[in-house]
Amino acid sequence: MTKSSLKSITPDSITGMIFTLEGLKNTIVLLNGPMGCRFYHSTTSQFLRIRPVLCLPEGKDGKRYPVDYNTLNEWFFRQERVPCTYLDGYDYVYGTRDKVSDAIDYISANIDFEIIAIINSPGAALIGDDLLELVREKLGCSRVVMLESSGYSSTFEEGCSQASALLLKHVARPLWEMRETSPDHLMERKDMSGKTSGKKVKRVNLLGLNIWQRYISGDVEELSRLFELCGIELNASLCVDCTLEDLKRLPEADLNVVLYPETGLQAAKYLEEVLGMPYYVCEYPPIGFKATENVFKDICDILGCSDKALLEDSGKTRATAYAAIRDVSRSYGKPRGVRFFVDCTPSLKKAYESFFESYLGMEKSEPEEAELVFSNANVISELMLENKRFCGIEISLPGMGYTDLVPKTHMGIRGALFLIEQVINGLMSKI
Amino acid sequence: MNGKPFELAIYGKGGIGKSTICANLSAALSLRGRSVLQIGCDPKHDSTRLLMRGKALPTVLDHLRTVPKEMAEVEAVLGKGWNDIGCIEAGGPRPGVGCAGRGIISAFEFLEEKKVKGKYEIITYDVLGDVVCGGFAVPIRREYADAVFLVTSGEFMALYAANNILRGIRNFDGDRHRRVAGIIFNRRLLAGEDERVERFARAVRLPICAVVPRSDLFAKAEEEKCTVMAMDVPGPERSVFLHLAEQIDTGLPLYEAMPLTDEELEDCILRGSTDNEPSERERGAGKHSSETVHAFISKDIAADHGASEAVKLEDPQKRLPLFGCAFNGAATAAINLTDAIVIAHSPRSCAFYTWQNISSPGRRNLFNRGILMPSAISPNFATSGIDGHDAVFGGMDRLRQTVKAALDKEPAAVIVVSSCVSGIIGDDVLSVEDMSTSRTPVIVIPADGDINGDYMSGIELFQRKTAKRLIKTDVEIRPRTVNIVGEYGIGYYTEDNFNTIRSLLDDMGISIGCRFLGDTTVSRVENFMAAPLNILAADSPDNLKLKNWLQEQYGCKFYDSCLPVGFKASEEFLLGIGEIFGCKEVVSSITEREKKTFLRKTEALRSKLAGKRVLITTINTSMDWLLDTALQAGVECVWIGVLNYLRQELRVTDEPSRKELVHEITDRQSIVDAVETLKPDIVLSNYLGELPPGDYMADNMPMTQKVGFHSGIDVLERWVRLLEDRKEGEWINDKKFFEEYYT
Repeated sequence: MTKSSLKSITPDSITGMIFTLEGLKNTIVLLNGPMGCRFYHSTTSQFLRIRPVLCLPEGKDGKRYPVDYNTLNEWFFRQERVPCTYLDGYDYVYGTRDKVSDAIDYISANIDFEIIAIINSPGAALIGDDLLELVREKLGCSRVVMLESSGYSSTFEEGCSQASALLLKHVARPLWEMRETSPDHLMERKDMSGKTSGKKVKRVNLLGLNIWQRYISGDVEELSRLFELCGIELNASLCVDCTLEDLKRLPEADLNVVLYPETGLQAAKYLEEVLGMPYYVCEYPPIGFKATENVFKDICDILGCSDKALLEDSGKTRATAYAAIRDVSRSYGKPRGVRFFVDCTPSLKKAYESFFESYLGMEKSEPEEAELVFSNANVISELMLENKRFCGIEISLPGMGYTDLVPKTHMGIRGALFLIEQVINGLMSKI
Repeated sequence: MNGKPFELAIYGKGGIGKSTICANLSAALSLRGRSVLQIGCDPKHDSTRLLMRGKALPTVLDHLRTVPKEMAEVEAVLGKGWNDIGCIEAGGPRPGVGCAGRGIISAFEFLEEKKVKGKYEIITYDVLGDVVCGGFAVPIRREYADAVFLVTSGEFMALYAANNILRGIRNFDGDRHRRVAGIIFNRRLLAGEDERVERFARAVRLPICAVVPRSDLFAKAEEEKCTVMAMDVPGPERSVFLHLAEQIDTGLPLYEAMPLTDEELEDCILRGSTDNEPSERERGAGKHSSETVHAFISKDIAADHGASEAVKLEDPQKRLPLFGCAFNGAATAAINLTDAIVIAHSPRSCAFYTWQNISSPGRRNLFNRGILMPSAISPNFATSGIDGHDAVFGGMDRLRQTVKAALDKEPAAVIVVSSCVSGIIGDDVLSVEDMSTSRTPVIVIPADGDINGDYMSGIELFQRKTAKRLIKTDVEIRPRTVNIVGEYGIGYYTEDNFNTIRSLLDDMGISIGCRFLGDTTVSRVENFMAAPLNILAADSPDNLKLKNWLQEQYGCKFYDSCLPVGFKASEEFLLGIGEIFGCKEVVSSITEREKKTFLRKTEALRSKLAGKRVLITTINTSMDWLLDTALQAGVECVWIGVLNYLRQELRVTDEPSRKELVHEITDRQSIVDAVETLKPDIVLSNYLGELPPGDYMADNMPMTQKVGFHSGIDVLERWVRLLEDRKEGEWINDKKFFEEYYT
C-alpha cells in the first residue's frame, strides 16, 4: 500500500505572498498568472473572514458605493478577491505587459483602491517582464507592490516575509519620505514637542501576521487588549486590516514586535535600517500563560511600562483554568502524560509544545501514538483515515469547515484558556 | 556622479567583440580613478577573462547551483581583476536545459540581495544582445542601466541585433526616457561597412561614440590574456577607450531609442536608402506599449495561424480565458486511478492547489456528514517540487528522483503531470516514461500547466494518454457488464449517481466493469474492452468527444443515451438496456415499482405546490425531467432563461408546448425584468450572480443533476420545505451596520 507514506502538500511562497497582501484594507492583489493559480486564492480569501468591501471610484455625488462583484466579470470572473491576468501559452512567449496594462486600466476605472500588489505566478516570473514601472506610470502613483518572483517551492513563510518587506520598501517608504518633508508633518512634530509635559503613550507595531493564520482576528484583538492593560497602544498590525494610513503611521511606534521571526523579522530589520526603529523578537509567540507573561514583561521593560494589570488578569484566568484542570485530573488523572503531536510552523510548534509540556504536563509523541493532534484539517483527516483514536484540534489552515464568527484565539491569556478548554473537551471525548 | 553607482550596459550580438570592448572600457574607466565592477551577462561567461588574466571565475549561477541559497556568498563569485576592477560572471544553465534568461534574473536577484554594487562607482554590464527576452533585458531595465551602448560592426546581423536592442529599450522607456548613449562601432574592414553603420546611426538618430579599429593588438592582448589597456602600448587602440571613458566620466548625452521596422532596416542597410526616419509605428507614437514587439512578432504568428488569427491572438481581450489549467484538470482526474501514484512535476504551489481541489470535499464531508472519503482525504499524490534552482538549470534530475521514489513503492502505475514551469524551461518530461518497469508503467501527461489548454483539456489529455497506455484490446469479453464513461470527478452527486445506477443495474443482473475514469484501478482500465457496452455519464460536449474518440480508437460500442435524469428518461433507459441484455421483464417490474413511489410522492407534493409559478434560469441543458414532475404536481412554469454560453442549439425542452417559454439571455437585466413582470412564487437558478429582489422563494440548482426515476421529486420536495419556512429573519435589517463597518 502506498498511502500511509504520503503527506499532505502544504502551501508555498506564492500563497504566503497573496495572503499577506490580501490582509491589507483597500488593496487589490492582482495575480499575473494563469487562472489555475487563482481559483484557490480567490475562493479561500473570500471566505477566510469577513472582508472589507471595496468601493467604486467616487462619483459625482461624492458618495462611496460598494462594488457589485456580479458585474465584475473581466479579470475578476465575478469573485471578489484576487483578480488575475489569465495567462496562456501565448503570453509566456510574447510577454504579459499588455494583459497587465489592460487589467490595471479596468481595475482603476472600476474600483477605488489604495494599494495594488502584482504577484507574478511561477510561470510569469520566468519571463521577467518589467511591470513595476509600467504600473507606476499607468497609475501615476507609487502605491504599487511588485513581486517579480513568487518563489518556486519556497516556504509559505518566506513568501509572507518577502511580501511584507517589499510592501514597506515599495509603498510605505515613499510615504514616510513624503511625510518627513510635508509642512503638516513638521507642524505636527512641533505640536508634539509642545505636549511633552503630558506622558506620551507608548506604541507598538505587530509584525509577522497574515490572514491565513487560524484565529487571526482573535489574535489581534487579544494582543491589543493585553497591550492596553500594560498602557501600550497597538499602532498597527502588519498586514492585517492595515490601511495606507496605518503604513504611513508605522514610524510613530516606539517598538516593533515580531511575533513570528519566519514572517516578520525581515520587515523589522528593514524598519530598523531605514527608520532606526528598534524591534523585539518573541522567543515564542505568546501561547500559554508563561510565554504571554514573559513576552509582555520584556516589552514592558523595553518601553518602561508596567505589566501589573496583565499579571492580575493572568492570575484570574489561571484560577479558572486551575479549577477545570483539577477536576479532570482528579477524575481521570489527565492531562498529565497525555501524548500529543503538534504540526505547524516552527516557532508556533515550539510555543504550543512548550505550553503543553510545561503547564499541562503532557508528553510529545509521534502522530500515530498521539491522543491529541494539533494541526490543520488535512493532517487531522489523514490520520483519521488510518483509524487513529485521537482528537484533532485545528491550529492552522486549512480548516475542516467550521465557521468562526466569535473571534477566538490561542494567543495571550484568553487564548491559553481557550486552548485548555479544547484540550479538556478533546480528552473527555476519548475517555 | 552621486552616491549611486553609474550603471552602463554594453549590448551587442554574440561574437561581435563586446566582451573585449567592455573589458577595455572598464579598464579605461579604472585608469581614471574610478572603482569599477564588470558583470558578464552572457551564459558563455568569458566577459571578464581579460581582466582576470585568463582566470575563469566561478559564475553566480554555478555557485547558486551548488550552494544552498542561505549559504551563498558573494566572495565566492567576485574576482579582483586588473587595477582592482571587480569581476563577476552571471553564467547560465547547461546548454539545452533550463532557462538562461531566468538565470540572469536569479543572478541579479542574488547580487541585489548581497548589495554588491554599492561598493563601486561604475558598473558595466556585458550583455548578449541576440536574445532580448525578459531575462536578458534585465540590465536595460531602468532600475539598472543608466546608459546603454550598442556594439556593432557593419554586418547586417550585427545591425539587426542592435536595432532589436533599441526595440527592447523602447519597450521599457517609450518616448519619455533617454538612456541610449550611442553606438560603439567595432570595425571589421568589410566593404562599405563604414557607410552602412553611418546610415544606421543616422536612421536611428544616434551618435557613433567610438570606432574601434581593426588591429592585431587586440589578438595579441588576447594571447597575453589581458586588455589592450593593460599592455600600455600607445596608439589608437588604447586612445579610443580612454576617450570613451572620458566621455562617460564627464557626462554622456543620452538619446531616445528610436528603432527601425524590419523593412526600414533592410532599406537602410542593404539598399542604401539614406532617407530613413524611424517610423511612427515602430516608435509607438509615444505610447508605452508593446506594439513594437507585436509589429515584430506578427510575422511568426501569421505564419502559424493565418493573418486574421494573428490579429486575434495579439489582442488579449480576443483570446478566451482558459478556465483552470490542463495541469490541474489532468492531476485531479488522475487521482481517480486509486492504485497509481500521481506526481506533479511542478513547484509545490501547483500541487497544493490540486491537493486542495481534491481534499476540500473530503474535509467537508468528514466535518458535516461524518463521511470518510479515502481518495479525497489522502490521495496518492506527490510533487517533484520544482525550485528556483530547477527553474534555471532544469528540473529533470529532481523529477527522475521523484519517479524513482514512487516506483520503489510498487504502485500499479506512476502518472506524471507537467506544469507550466516545466513547459517553459523545456524539461523533457516524456523521457521518464523510459523508467517504466515490468510491473509499473510510467505515464506522462504533458499538460505544461495551461500551455496545453484549460482544466477540461487536461482531463481529456489524461483520459486519452492513459487509455492508450493501459487499455488492452485482447481481453476476454465479460457478458452482462457495462462501463460508465465520463463521470465528473468532483461533481456533488457523482457518488450518489453511481450508486443509483449500480443499484438499478444490479436488479437487472448487470455489473459495472470500469468507471472511465472515476474511482477505478489500473487493472479495470486495462480490462476496459471486456465490457460489451459503454454508457456515457452525461452528454456534455467533452463527453461526446471522448465517446467519439473511444469509438474511433477501439471500436467500442456505446449505448444511445447517457445516465438518465427523471422518470421518463429512466424508464426508457432501462428498457433499452433490458433489450440489449435480454432482461426486459425485470425492467417492467422495476418501472412498476418506481412508478408507484413516483405517483404517491407527486400526489403529496400537489397538495402543497398546486398553483405555484416557477421561473427558471439555467445553462443550456434539458429540463424536461423537472418540468414533467412539476406539471404532475400542479406547478406552472412561466419562463425559462437560458445562458447559452456555447451557442449551441437550444435543448432545454423537447415538449413543443413549452418551447415558447424558453428565452436566450445574455445579461442579468433579462432576469430582473422577467421576475418583475411575471411575479413567480419560485425562482430556480444555477446562475451564479445575485438574484433580483422580489417576493419569491429562491432555490439553487447544482450544475450536475441527480440521476434516476426521482430526480424531479427531490427538487420539488426541497421547494416544499423552503416554501414552508419563508419568513425572513430580522438579520436582514442589519445590512446598514455591515455597510457602516466594512465599507
